[in-house]
Amino acid sequence: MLFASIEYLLFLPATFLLFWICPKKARWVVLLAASCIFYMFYNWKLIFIFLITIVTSYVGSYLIDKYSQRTKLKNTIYIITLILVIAPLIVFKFVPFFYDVYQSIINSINGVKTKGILSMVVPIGISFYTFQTVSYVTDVYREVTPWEKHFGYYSLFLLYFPQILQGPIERANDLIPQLKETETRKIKDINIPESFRIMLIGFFKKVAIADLFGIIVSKTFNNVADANGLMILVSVLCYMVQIYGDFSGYSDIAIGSSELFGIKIQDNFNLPYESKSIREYWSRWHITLGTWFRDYIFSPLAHMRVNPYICTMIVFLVCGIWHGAAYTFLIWGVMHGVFQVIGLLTIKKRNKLWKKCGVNPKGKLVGTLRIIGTFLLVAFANIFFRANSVSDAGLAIAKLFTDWNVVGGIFPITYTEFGLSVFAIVYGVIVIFTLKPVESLKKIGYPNQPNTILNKVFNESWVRYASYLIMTACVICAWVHLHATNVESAFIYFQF
Amino acid sequence: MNKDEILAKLQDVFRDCFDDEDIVLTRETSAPDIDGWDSLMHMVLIGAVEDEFKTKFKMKDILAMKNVGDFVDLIETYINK
Repeated sequence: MLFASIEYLLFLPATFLLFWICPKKARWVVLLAASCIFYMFYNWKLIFIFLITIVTSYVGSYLIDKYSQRTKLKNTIYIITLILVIAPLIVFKFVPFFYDVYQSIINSINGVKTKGILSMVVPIGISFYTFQTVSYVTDVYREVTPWEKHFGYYSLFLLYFPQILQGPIERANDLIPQLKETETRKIKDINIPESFRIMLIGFFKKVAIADLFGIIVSKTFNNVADANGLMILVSVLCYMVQIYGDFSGYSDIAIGSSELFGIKIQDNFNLPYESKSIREYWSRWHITLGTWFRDYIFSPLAHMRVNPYICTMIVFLVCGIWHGAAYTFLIWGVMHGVFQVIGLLTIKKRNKLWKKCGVNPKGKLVGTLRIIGTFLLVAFANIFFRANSVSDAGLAIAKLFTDWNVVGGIFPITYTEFGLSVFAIVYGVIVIFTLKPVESLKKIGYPNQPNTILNKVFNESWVRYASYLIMTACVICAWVHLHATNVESAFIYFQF
Repeated sequence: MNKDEILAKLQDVFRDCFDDEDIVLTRETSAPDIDGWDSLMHMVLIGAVEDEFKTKFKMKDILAMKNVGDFVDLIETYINK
C-alpha cells in the first residue's frame, strides 16, 4: 500500500480507531493484523516469504539464547540463522542478476545474442526487513538485547507497517519495549495534531516536491540518448531534490503515522545536503542504514583489525549491492567508498593548502565550498544510482561534459525541452527554496533548537498555520495533477 | 611515563589526526566532543596511537573505552607491561 494513496487515507484512520477502541491487551493484535494487510495489499503471497524469515529468526534467536553458555554451539546456530535469514534476499535479488551475468558470458562464448532473463517477483521491503532481522539476531547473539519470547510482539517488531517497506531500520531495544507499552498507553498521551503536522510535511515533500521533480528526471533518464548536457545537469540536480523529498518524506509520514499509536520511530535524515564531507553525509543521510553498517559490518571487520580504509570500501561495496543487484549500484557504492577514503587521506594536505593561501580551513568560505563539493560528489555518484544501466550513466556523464549545443542558447533554459510550462519552472524554483524552511518548521517546538531567523519566523503561530495551509493546497493540487497525468507515485526506496 | 605525560602525548596525536591544533583533551573528553570522531576516525586514531606508543591494543580493550580517561589508562597499562 502506498502512503500517498486513497487506500492509506482510509487504512490509517481505521487502524487508529480500532487500536484505541479494542481492549488494551489486544492492541498488538490490531497493529499486527493492520501491518499484514498493509504488506499484503501489494502482493498477498509474498507475506509467506516474510513469515519464513520471522519464524527462522525467532527459532534461531531462541536457540542462541538457550545455548548462550556453549560458545561453539551458539556460534554455529548464529551462522546458520544468519544464512537462513539472508538466503531469501540473495535468492530474490541476486540470483536473477548472477543468472543474467552467466547468460552474458555464455552468449559471448557462443557468439549468440539471445538473452534469457530470469524474472522473479521481489518481495517489497526485503532488503529492509532482512537487515532489521540480522540486527536482532546479532544483538541477541552479542547479548545486547534479550530474546523476545512473545511471538506476536516479535512479528510486529519486523512487520510494523509504518517502517516495514522503507525503514527506518529499527533496533529491537528501541521498538519492542514501545510496542509492549501500547498495553498501558492512554489516548490523552498522544499528540494527534503533532502527528498530522509531521505527516503533512512528509506528504508535501513526497507529493508536492519529489513526484513533480521526478517527472523531469524520468524524462531524461529514460531516454538519455535524446538529452543534451543542460538537460542532464538539470535532471541530476532535480534528482537530488526528488530523492531527498521522496525518502525523507516517506520517513516523515512513517514517523507521523506511528505517533498515532504512541510509538516513536527514528528520523532517518538530518539536513544531509549541508554535509561538509561524504563521511558527514553518511551520518545525516539514511542514518539508520549508516549505523547498521557501522555496527554489523564495519565494527566486526575493525575488530578483526582489518585496515579501516579497507573496512570502509567493503562497507560501501555491500551498501551498493544492498540497494540493488546491478552494476550501477555497485559503482555508486564504490564511488562513495573511494570518496570517503580519498577525503580522509587528503584532508590534511587540503587544509595545509588553504593555510598557504591565507584562508582559514575551518572558516565559512572553506566550509561553504566543502558543502558545495560534497553536494556535487553525491550528485555525480547519483547518476549511477538513477541511470537504468551503466552505459546510460556513461552516456549521461559524457553528455554532461560535452553536449552543450543547446538550441537557442543556455539562457534562458530551454524548459520547453522538458515539456514544462513557465508556471512549473517558477513553482519548482520556489519549492527548492522551501526545503530548508520546511525542515525548520518540522522541528519547531522541539527542544534545543538553534535561535535562527527561520525558527524565529516559525515561532509566530500565524506563519506556521499559513505554511500548513499552503502546503496542504500544494499537496492537493500536485496529487490531482499527478493522477490526471498518470504519473507513478511509488517511493524510490520501495524497490530496495 | 605518567598519566599527564600520556595525556599530553595523546593530545598531540589527536591534533595531528583531526588536523586541529585547538583540540584540548581532558579525561572526560569523548567522541561527541570532537568534530569528526566517528567509527572510521576512531580506528584511524587507534592505529596512530599504537604507532606513537609502539604498542598493539587488544580489540576487547579498545571496545571497553568510553572516554579519553579510559584511553590514557589503557595506554599506561600497555606500555608498562
